[in-house]
Amino acid sequence: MDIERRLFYDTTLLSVERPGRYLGREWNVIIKPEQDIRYTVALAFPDVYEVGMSHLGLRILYGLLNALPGVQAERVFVPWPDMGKKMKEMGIPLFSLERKKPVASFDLLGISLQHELSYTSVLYLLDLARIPLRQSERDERFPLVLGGGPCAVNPEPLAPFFDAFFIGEAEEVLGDIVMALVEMKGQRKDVLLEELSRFPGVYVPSFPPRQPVRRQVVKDLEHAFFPSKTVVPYVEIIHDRVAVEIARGCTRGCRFCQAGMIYRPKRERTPERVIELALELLRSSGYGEVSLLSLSSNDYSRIEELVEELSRLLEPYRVSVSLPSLRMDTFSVRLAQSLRRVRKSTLTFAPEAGTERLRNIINKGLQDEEILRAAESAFSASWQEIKLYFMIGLPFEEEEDIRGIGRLVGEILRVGKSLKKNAGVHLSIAAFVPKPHTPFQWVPQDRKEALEEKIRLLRDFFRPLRSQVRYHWSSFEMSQIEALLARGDRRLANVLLRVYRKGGVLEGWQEHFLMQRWDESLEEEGLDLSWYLYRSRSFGEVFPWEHISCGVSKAFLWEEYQRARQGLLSPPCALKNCTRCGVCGSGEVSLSDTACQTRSIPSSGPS
Amino acid sequence: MWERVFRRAAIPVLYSQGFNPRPLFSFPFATPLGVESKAECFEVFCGEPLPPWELQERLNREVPEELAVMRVQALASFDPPVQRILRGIVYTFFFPAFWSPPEKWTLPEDITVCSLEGSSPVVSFLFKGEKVLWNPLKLVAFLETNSGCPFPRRIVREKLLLWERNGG
Repeated sequence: MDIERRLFYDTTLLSVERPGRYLGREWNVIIKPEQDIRYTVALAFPDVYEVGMSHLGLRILYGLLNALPGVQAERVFVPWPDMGKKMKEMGIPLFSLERKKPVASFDLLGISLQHELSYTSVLYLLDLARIPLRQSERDERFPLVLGGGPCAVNPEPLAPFFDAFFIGEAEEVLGDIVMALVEMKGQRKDVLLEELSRFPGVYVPSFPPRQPVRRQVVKDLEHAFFPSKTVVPYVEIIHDRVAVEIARGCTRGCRFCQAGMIYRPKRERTPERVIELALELLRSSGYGEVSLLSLSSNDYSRIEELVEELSRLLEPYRVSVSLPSLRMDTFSVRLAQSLRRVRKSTLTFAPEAGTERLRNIINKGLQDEEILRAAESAFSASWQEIKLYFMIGLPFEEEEDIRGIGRLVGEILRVGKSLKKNAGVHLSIAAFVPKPHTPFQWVPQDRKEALEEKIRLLRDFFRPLRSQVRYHWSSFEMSQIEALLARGDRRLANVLLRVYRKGGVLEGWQEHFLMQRWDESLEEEGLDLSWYLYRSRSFGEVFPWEHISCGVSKAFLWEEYQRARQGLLSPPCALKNCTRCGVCGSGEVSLSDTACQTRSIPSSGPS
Repeated sequence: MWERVFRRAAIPVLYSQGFNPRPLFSFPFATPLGVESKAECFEVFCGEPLPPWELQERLNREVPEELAVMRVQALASFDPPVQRILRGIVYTFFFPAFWSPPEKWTLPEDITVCSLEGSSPVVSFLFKGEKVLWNPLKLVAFLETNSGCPFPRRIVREKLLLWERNGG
């Protein structure tokens, strides 16, 4: 059966929304000659094209695997339900974009796990591909199903569906693993799995590990693989620009932040290498914007130098530079001015909480004064609106902290008004979700009713400011399910199956999410949502994710939780001021040299 | 897409002024949504004078294999607007297989049937004069009411007929 013919020469693609998602054939796509292909890998992202293509990790893996001799890696995304229905009607199985091959015909199927609410879409992917959902029902005629990504640090809810998980960063190890699989092609599945389980960072649920599987970390980011070409989509995607990763990991240690814990230690690329990569990617793609990615842009040790140099080089070509994840305490007028040379992108800051007390508890450690100074820099560099992220439902939160958000926004507007007549603030409010491998993994989530009460309080605050404050908040029911799966155990696999059978797909999209499906499925499995969400855990409790180690010790996390309870700040990690989280171990991985120069919360401005 | 092709080909394009500068591309006779197209035309302001053949060659190195720049024509500021060089557009309608088209068509003025192939349900129409810029979907509606034609399965823009200019 020729999928390509049926898509293009029949009118299938004309009758679905945004057909460009299913087209493939984009600029810079990699298709090797048939005779050179020995092993095929489908890289699947359990969300639609626009979301999956915006993910840098997928682009890195695509380049990394296609650079291996004999290996052909191709992309697979979830079709929007209209296309999914059409494919089922017409008998078209899930296919890869590059060569339009059925996913079931690949040797390896890698699935990226970025977000808990995409778990049911994983089942949808397998089902559309006509691959049996449970790994126990699959033999060597089906592709080996490998999971990876940040959610793999607690793989248990998905364990029965995967053959194996790769925990951690792929650049230094995954190539070896795939090359070993190429050599073993055609072997029995149990042989493959046993062999796989011997690799570092690989967790095979059917071979329980004797000691925790250690998350793999790239030791040398400077020389780690980074693609120099990037696929350029025809349809507009969410992050439609060139992305260059300038640093991995974060030194701050915010206690709610999973990324800040699991991506330790912080490593940097030099500005020279970043500029080289940016220029090459821009030249080969034709994009007009480059985004410098990291968990905290202005913690990059030479950020001002980098942004200034890059903006200067790119200005004649009308290419702009943008920075996500800006911290307010080190944001300066100088940085603001380099950022707006070509065109201004949105400026986003994350104070997270409304009062200094609560910001100390979560170890964000921003002072009101620093927040106001950052806002002043932004408005004086002629931004009209800034975007702010806040969380509600944080541990030890009181009513005063919610009022604090209102007060702080009021103050920011007052500063803004004095500089710009139409100054405005755009707020994004999310409910706190406790995540595994963080100091708050022991904490109960706030009840939905309590969160709703807090939102009511905020709305009262913002009503008189309606023309200057735009705000929206995430669905609390979606946060509940995110929290359920984040700290979930293997019993939830059956819940996932039931939710999927009831029609739950693409649940990260509010329009597709339905709480009723989850309530019913949990009840049918005899499980209690509140046991997972609202229970305070003790130090002695053994978590379902303890066979996965991110290097950060449980004792360190508990210590941080106790410091939160006392409202104590912990310093950012630095070589001189080590907080002994344990990730650097006996020195095989450590903070990069460039990170040594990291400023530790300057009281006067940056030098 | 063209903005990126021009950037890859390192051909500078002029930008609009103002708060959010946009490249100066214009598509004077864009194909309506839902209609396939084999011929498109656009106008762009380049930042440096390049011979048309060089422009064509450099662009063709940077476009996907399904696309090609067929012709590049330099325009001077005293030339008539691009709309005026369009002589006609040919659209092909793919009617459902069960339906056989009539012997004689009742058509609005300035639209003629070209290359009618027996009783095939595939029919090409030439739009010219005043009707050049007509949306082909308007013709579909006209045919539905006047000749009882079914809705075509596909509509394809086949070609653009342009007036030749003297002196290149």
